[in-house]
Amino acid sequence: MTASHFEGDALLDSNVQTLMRRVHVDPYTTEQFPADNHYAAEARVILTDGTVLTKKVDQPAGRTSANALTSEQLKEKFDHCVGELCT
Amino acid sequence: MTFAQELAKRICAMNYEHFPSETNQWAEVGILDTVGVTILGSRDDSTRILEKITAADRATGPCLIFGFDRRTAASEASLINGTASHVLDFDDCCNTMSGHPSVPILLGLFALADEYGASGKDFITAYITGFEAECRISLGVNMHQYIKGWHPTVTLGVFGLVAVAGKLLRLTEEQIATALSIAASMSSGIKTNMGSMTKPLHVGLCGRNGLLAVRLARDGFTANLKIFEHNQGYFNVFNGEGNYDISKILHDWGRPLHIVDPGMGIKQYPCCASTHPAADAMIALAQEYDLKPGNVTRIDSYTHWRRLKHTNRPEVSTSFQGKSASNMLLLVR
Repeated sequence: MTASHFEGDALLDSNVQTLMRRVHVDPYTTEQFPADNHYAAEARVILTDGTVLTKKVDQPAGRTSANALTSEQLKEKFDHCVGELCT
Repeated sequence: MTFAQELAKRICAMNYEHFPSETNQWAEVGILDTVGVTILGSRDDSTRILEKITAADRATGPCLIFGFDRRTAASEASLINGTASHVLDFDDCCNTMSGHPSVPILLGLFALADEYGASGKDFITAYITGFEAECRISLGVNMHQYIKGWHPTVTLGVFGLVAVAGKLLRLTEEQIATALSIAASMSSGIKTNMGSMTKPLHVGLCGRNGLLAVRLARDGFTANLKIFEHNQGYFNVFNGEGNYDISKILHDWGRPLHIVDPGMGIKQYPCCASTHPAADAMIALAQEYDLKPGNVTRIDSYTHWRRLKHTNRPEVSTSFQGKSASNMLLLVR
């Protein structure tokens, strides 16, 4: 996900507009995550054939020193930031 | 001693030689990441509009404006660069601060370093000191201040900037206490402006104001040193009686340094951090199962309730709103 995903008419893309209407957002319960974890998330996707897929994340990548991004990820981000200016 | 004096004493006592060995590594990460996001943010419409307006003031000075081909006075550089640094919401975060630790302090520091010169050691010492000051204040006022609707990146960050500038310019304890007290009257930023150009402007204003507070204090300006704990002071006005704890701020200062533990959050995505865990979960699912828009009937996203007040935006219509929208982010990859 890069800055270009938020620019120009990206939001008007028909796939984005169609899918946005299928997204439902709710707070999680203490059955999903401990009460003191305020940085988790669960995504649940229902496919057209009825299959239900779920994924839980306890903390976003890079959020603390204990869960830091790698040097390669940091460099990739920096190059993306500076590269965009030169294009 | 008043709270401002206690804070100033701790800021003055911060010493590079006492920092743990991994401090430099994290400082470098924070500095480089901030430079990158500021350069990227310099081309945004909000930065360009602001630069065009302030250029008419014809300020002159040695301070670089990131992404532009001119230099200017520290006040203008910190205003424009501060805004650019936060415009994409791509800059670092810290769990302790409930906000962004580097942008309110580093862009002012860059401007000062351009004006006065600074060794790498002085630069990092000032940065770590400001980072610690704003995080420590947060320990005593959050999450209450955040939930109430203030924008802690700047309502706390302005004190971080005073610490940074006070340290770099080697102000006395009394001058720093005064600068903190002046800055208390400059602290501002209301969360409802998140999702608009005014959110990053908060950071630019914080930088400009913090530098002014330090310069005023250095030249003998006065302020009430009881500004924090007075019954009509910062804590009661911003948090309210009973909703803050001064002892949490002052006790065990610097142990550990917050830039080391819990450390900074470095963003992988240019949008509000409250949306990142959901984005991580959705990207993982999309990659694992090679999801296509046509095959998806419904997506449910569960995040913490506190993160939803400003990110549940089913009617998102601009990219700025999209940056703060869980709804849109689940779809972008």
